Parts: sequence; C-alpha cells; structure tokens
Amino acid sequence: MTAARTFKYVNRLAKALTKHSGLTQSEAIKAADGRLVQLRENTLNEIDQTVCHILDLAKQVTSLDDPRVQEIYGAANRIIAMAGVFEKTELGEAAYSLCELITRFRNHGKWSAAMVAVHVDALQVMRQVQDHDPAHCTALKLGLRKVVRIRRLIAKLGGP
Amino acid sequence: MSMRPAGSDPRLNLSKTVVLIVQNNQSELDILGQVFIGFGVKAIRKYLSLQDAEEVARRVDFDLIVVDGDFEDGAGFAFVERLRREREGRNRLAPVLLVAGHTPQSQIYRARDCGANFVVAKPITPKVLFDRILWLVQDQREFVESDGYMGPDRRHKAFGPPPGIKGRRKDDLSPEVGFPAGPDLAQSEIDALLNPRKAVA
Repeated sequence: MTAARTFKYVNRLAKALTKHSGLTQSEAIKAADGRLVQLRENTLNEIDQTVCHILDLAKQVTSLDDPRVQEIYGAANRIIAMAGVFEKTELGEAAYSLCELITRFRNHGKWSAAMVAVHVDALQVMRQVQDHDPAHCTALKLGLRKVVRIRRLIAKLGGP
Repeated sequence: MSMRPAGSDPRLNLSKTVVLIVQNNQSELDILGQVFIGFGVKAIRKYLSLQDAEEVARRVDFDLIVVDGDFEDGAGFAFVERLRREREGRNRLAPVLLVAGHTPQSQIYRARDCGANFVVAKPITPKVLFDRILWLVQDQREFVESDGYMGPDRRHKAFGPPPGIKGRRKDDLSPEVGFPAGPDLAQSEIDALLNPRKAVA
C-alpha cells in the first residue's frame, strides 16, 4: 500500500466566473426555464405513462425476487428526476417514497403488495395534484412516510 | 456550505465551456441539455451510453462532466472511478457532478468515494444546477491520489481528524486557538474595522 499524495490542480471551470459577461443566477434560470417549456408536455405525458406502467407492474408482482421489482424501482426513480423539474414536487416525493419502500423490502427480504398499492394510488392522485387541496397532499405524503416507517418497525420486530 | 463571494451577484460565462452529459434515459438527457443551453453553453456532448461517453472522454477535453448515478449496478460510479484513475487521461482532473435519484444505502459510500466533485440529488432544476456549478467554479480542494481513492479531497475543511487519530495530515489546521501574536487592538481600532468611514479633510 502506498501513501496518499495530494496536489493542487487547475480548475478548468474557474474561468467561467466573471464580473461583467455571462449570466447572473436569475438570468440563467429564466433562460433555462424558457428552454424547458418545449419539453414540458412530452415529459408530463411520459410521467403519466410511467405511473401507469408502475400500476401494471405492481399488480403482477407477488414476490421480491420478481425481476419486475427492479423495473418498478427504475420507473419510480425516473419520476423523481422528471417530476420536480416541472413543479410536480409532491409526485416526485411519492416516487421517492416508493423507492425507499422497495429498498427496505430488499433489506428485509419481504414484499408487501398492499404497501406498494398505497404508493401507486398516491402516485395517481399526485399526478393530478392541481385538483387537490394542498392540505390533502400533505396528508397523503405523511401517510406514505408512515407506511415506510411501519415497514421498518415490522422488520425490527421480526414480523412478516 | 456557502461558497458564494460575499456581497456580490456572481455571473457565469459558460459560452466557451465544453460539457459532457451522460444520463441513463433520453428525457433526463434532454432536460439537462436544455438547461445547459439556457445557461449559455454552446458545446454539449450528450450520451446515453457510458461506453460511448468514455470513448469521447479519451479524445476531448471537457470543462464539466455530468454523470448519472442511476445506471444499474453502480456503472455511473465506476465510470467516474475509471476517469480518475486513468493516469494520462485528458479528463482525469475535470470537474465531475454526479447526479443521483434514490440511492440505496449500500451505494451511498460508493457515490461519495467514486471521485466526483459533488453528488447532487435529483431533481436537477435550473436553480440547483446553477448553484452547484457555482460551487464547482470556486472549488479549490486538492486532488488526492491513494490506493483506495482518487479525486478531489473529500474534506471541505482542512481541520482533519483530531490530533493523534489515524488519517490526520501534517498540513491539517489545528483546532486549538493559539496565544496572541501581538498586542490587543484598541476599541477604536476594532470600531474602525467593523464600521470603516472615509477620512474627512
């Protein structure tokens, strides 16, 4: 084993920081938001399709070793990446909760169709979040957190 | 962590910046690409395949590399590790942002230790990305080369572990406050430092 070596190096990006040219944060964000408008509809449609895909897959899975579990996890992870960019923060959080739930199932070797179903229902509701009261959404998010926490408690107590 | 210069509205000129983006799906690739175009970047190379990205990274110098941490089996982390370990590689020292969605606990240490400058949680909104680029621009950490890790120093402060603990470096700052090196300042001198005023003739 060799000793660690540290050295200074030139940061290639440092030259991008300027005083007069370029964009300030607010200018850059405005310009980027302008560019994202053209992707908005297609991305929201894709999110809808992904939610439907998760719904279909979840109905078929009965055990953790089903390869479709990874497909559900991957699909939920894609929703995390896309939803928050287009102000669907709650939807992204519900998808994150589903990923967290699947990770806990994997850690403890158990699958619960009921707990997944709660998340899938929440994803469908969150997709149409503009039709719901903010308090309703908050309650739904808290409910999902409880489901994930219950999974952890059950595992701790050595339950199914 | 605040790396923004005090009292200023920083500007970034990314028009000459060459960016490599590698994502594991088309939508995320398109989103990031459009955000960078909005930021004024003109040279963007976008890839869905890590293999293709690796091939282009051998030929082109990039000023910024954005890698998806959500490739299966930690392939995105491995990509960054290989980039850092390639001794003669053009992009060995390039700033790397690793973007990740939900990361299982088993992969969190790998994300931290792959050698990326920063790991950023998705969703990557324009605001998040601009802030992280600002961090990268001002990143002055040294590069660490060791058997187990290659990349920017994972410590953001140079205090290191306490004296006597393994892992401390000889140039780590002391947590102890030393004795004064000169006479104390007078109250009027302290006031002048805190509230400087122009001299009036």
